[in-house]
Amino acid sequence: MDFVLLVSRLQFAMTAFFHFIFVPLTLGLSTLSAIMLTLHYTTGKEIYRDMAKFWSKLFAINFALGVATGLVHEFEFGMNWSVYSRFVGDIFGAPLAIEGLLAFFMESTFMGVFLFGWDKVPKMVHLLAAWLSSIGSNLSALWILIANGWMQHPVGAKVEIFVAGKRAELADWWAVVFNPVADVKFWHTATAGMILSAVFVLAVSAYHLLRKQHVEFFKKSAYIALIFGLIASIGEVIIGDIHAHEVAKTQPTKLAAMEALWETKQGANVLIAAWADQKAQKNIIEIPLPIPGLLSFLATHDFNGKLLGAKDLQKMFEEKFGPGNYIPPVNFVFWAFHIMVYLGFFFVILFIWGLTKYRNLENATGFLKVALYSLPLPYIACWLGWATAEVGRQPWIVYPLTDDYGKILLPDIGLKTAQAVSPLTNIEVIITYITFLVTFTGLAIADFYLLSKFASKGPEKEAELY
Amino acid sequence: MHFDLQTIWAILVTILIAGYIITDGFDLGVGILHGLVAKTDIEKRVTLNAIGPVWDGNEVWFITAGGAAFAAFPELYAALFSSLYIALFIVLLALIYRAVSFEFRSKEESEGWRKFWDQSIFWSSLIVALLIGVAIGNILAGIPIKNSAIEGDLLHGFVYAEKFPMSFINLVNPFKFHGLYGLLVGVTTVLFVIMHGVSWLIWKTEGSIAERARNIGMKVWLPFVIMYVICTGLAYTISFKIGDPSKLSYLNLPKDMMQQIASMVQGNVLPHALFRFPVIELALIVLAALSAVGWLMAVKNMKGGKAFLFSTLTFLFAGFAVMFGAYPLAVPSSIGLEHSITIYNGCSSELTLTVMLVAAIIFTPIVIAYQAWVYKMFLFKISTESLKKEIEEAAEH
Repeated sequence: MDFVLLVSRLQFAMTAFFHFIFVPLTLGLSTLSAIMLTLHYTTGKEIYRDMAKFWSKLFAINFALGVATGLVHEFEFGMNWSVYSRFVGDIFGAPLAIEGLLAFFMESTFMGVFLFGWDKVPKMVHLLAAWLSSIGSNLSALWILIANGWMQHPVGAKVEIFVAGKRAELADWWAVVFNPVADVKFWHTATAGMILSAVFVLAVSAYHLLRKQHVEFFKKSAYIALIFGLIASIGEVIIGDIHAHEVAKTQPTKLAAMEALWETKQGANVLIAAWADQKAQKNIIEIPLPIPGLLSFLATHDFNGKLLGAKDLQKMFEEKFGPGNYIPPVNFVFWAFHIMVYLGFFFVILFIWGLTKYRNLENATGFLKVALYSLPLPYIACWLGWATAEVGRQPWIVYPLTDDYGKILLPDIGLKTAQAVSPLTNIEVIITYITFLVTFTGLAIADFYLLSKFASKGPEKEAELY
Repeated sequence: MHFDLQTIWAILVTILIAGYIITDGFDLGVGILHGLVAKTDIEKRVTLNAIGPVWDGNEVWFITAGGAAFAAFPELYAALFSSLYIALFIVLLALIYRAVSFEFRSKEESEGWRKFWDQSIFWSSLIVALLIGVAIGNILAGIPIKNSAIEGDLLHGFVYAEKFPMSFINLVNPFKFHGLYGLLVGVTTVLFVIMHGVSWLIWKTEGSIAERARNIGMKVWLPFVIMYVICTGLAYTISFKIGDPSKLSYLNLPKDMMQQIASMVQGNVLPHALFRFPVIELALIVLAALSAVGWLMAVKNMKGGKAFLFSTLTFLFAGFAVMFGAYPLAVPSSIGLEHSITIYNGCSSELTLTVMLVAAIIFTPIVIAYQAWVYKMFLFKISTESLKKEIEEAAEH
């Protein structure tokens, strides 16, 4: 692979990886803090005030890095992917601009009021600010995912020749906004953020409860997290199913890789585990789930539904787009997807388990230990979800518009990742890649250090000041 | 000048960039000044808390300006950010360090920790202001980009014709005109954000910090005015050569605008290209200069609110003078005028521009309204005494 392309891909993936350490916690914890603040202002109880303060402080430390990595992300489209940017800008740029205008301003402006407004602004204004900030961060995710969803399923577009070259142009704005792939992606991601934040609050609470400190404070926090987490994790199972169904319809090569499905089948089985030989186009090992036709049912809502296998898809794409490799790396996508799904089910069990132990939570040592060590798991699940979505899209950066389980409707709009990179030099990309890598790693360590410092300190009476 | 979608979007993107420089400008200025106006740790914390609740929302202007440029002028966004790759990378890096410096500084008591983040705040603020100015200066003077469609390549759009390391070094190379001009505009921008930071500190703080800010403001005024005059004067000398006149159709300009430009061409060169609307240009420059005088008076009398208004106006007039001067060019090419990005060949389709315009008309006033409301809420004066009191009160709560 071309060096500039390789490093640009690594750099973008790395930025996404770091960005997604911070973002899901922002999405969910802003809502949890707003719930706690609402409880404080409605019940008048001091403990909820301390809770809102404690959790929003952790939120603020985390948020600064979410902004910093997000900033890099937005500009990297133009910096490293100029051909992509000019090809899709007519459509892709609009949701990004609206995200800034509609959502991000709201999120960050009102977050300032929430974090710095204690006892300085009227109570109702303070509460409103907390909710507006939370709504803003989730709206911001919506518009980003409308943009991302369009790369997966480029609806509402046509291909035109403009003065500076060929490009995709907007044909139907509402089709882009109500893109079914984008909208389900949003719910999938927002819910993932809620689960991650619930596990985060639960794990920090478990840490203190295991030491029997601030028992009432962290028991109450854990309770809110358990309820919030249970609703979110059950919701996620349902949303995940809808999402997979959309992928099957619109991105057949991604689905084939997610399920290691090489042969076209009617009544296909779900594989619990598999290992593929990509060159030989077959699985070396496969362990199916003993429910015949389940995969077909999940993907097509018919136990006997027909799913195209990777072999046939490769032939079909070659006929349409010429020689090339059209199947994403199967082992990587299969395992990223499957581990994410297994973790999703684990979170449901974790929250149910916690709720059954709730009365005597401070003495449920076994559960508390599992909850504490579960902290990295939702992060891993989020990363794997993104890896499935973005690696599974390869070799395309804009997937040719497809529907009905493999009918290619608009082949011209497809743009390969390899074509989309900016004309940069090797030295330019290597300088930025290494510097960003070192910076992000250092900042993530500093962030982790500060988060653990303040999380383990517990609630403290301190002014929110720089 | 036409009032079509492209022109409206050129004005809107200018407003967003101006919004960024006006809002984030004062906190960049405070970042640069914070070691000079604050001597003790508690004073330093006062200067940082003076921008505490708002800097974050201010930075969103940058993100939104980037997003709007992407949506309305995708060819410009793609070409500019890949061409200025290393410069933009340094700006982003500085913005990252700035964001986390604010957040991390107060989280540890140790002196070394706080000194480290103080340095980081100073340098990152300085670099952001300088490089944004450098980029603006270089773009005005023209950078070596070419339109690949002229050679029949329909994929790559506008690409940079120089290769690294020359591309980056030339941006700040004082022996090349566009590099020299970039540096001069960069320094002017730094002086402006310092002035704007002084306005904010006088408005938002009282006591020793405001006093020191005033003294710095009195010293920085004259150098700013001199630099502004030099930059404006040099802008008059900027001209663009035309490589192949038959390819000027690639600029995609409306007919009468093309004719107007063609009538000014002398021997394949478009002279004093940034002064095609001399009346408007001069009026804006004079207004910018008058605002700068108003600023000096306000600072002298310690009127923070007025100073802030005048530094804002100074930038707005100067910024719109730049926009009018460049119009309809967005990024002139130093290779040949026909390779330039204009607002007519770099723009999105009419449908996208319309959809975005509706969104902008609805949401921009709302954003400005609530940002102003939040600013108003936080516009109480702070000082070392008030900060100490706040820390004590929180501990008792």
